[in-house]
Amino acid sequence: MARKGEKKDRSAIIIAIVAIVLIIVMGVTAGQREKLTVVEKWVGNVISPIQRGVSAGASNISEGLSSIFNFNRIKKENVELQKQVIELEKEITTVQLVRDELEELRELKFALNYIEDGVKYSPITANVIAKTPGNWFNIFTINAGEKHGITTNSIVMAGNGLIGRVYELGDHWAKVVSIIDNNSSISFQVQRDADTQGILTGSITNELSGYLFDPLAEVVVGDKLITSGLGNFPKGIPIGEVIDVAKSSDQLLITIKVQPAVNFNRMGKVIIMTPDVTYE
Amino acid sequence: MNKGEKKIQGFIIGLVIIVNLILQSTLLQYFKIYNVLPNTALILVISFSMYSGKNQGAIIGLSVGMLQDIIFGRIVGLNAFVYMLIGYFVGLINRKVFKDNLLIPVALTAVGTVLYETVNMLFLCFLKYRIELFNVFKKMLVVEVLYNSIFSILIYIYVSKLFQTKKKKRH
Repeated sequence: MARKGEKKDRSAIIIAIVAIVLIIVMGVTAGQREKLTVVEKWVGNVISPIQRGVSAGASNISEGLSSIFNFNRIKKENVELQKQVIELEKEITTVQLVRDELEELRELKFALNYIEDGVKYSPITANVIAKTPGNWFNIFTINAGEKHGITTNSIVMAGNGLIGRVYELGDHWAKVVSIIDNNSSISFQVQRDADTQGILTGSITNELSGYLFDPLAEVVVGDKLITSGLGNFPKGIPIGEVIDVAKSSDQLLITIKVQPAVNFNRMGKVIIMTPDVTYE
Repeated sequence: MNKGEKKIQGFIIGLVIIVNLILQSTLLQYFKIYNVLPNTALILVISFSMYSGKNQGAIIGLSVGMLQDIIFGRIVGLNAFVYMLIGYFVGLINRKVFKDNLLIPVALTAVGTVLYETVNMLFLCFLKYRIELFNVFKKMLVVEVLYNSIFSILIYIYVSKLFQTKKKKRH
């Protein structure tokens, strides 16, 4: 009888000890780490190629199916895109005029010995191989890592907007935290008015919302937001469009809701911008 | 013979765990409802430990959680901790319930999901992550509990077949 009780206690004690060890591990790994341990890297190196294969297959199938079912929509989209191309071509001609002026000004900048604030970035293209199986965070993995020259806090973006930053990385894979993640925040500015700035945060329901620094600033629905250059992200990357503006009840803050430019449910290829260290 | 069978069984469980992690992170992403992913890892831990007892349940939970934490986690050990405890407690009661009743996995999964999210929330709160209580309630405690419970029936039937064929062979 006593022996039985002893045996029962033993497994409970082991569980308790392991639980405490895990809590300690949690405490140690809670912040962002510069380097992963060998075990973690190795596990990722083994599993990520399989994930890559499966996700490529799955996305191919889903794309094929959706293109069959959405044939009409694609047709409409095609017409719209053609219209857009015409508009963009018009815009290019005007932009070219502006560019000439800009070059002149740049030369002037050099003459005035202006301090260059930009860091150069070298882009790498990678595929999204898997997304987090939990519901708390919005993390996904990509098939590029240390061996490809990317570092932690590299900027990840799609062709049309900001996606997130590299959180931790292994040899051939990296974890990316997206901007709609519960705990990420970015500083933004309104594209048409560089002085209107604020902070956006993600949420567990995958919505971007935020507030403006200046309670008297004017923001309207449809305003395009870009990164402001404060914090991790360089200036000028598109974030999204304002879909809702609300003045909070105490009239001290303007809160906004933002529709991200990138569709986070359908990410295939991403661009990783690594700050060029040699430039410094 | 018994030992060999156990080895094979352990191998199958390990394989299922890895395949589940891969599917959950790739294919299942297309089956999100209201942006909520079914937590098949949790359901697998519950179903496996229903059949294999508390010690194995705890080990299975620990390895499932650890794998998930290493590849996707922001905090290593969080999922491992929760899954291990859930595996252990489900294993504790495995002799006291009728395994043929399909209501059992549904009820256990619902309770397990609530427990999982609550412990997660507590730890994230302590680690100074932002928590929006209303959204957590809506997303995790309503949609995810329902979704997981429905998924649990499918997985439970599969797992019970896995274990029952083994038992029949022994006779």
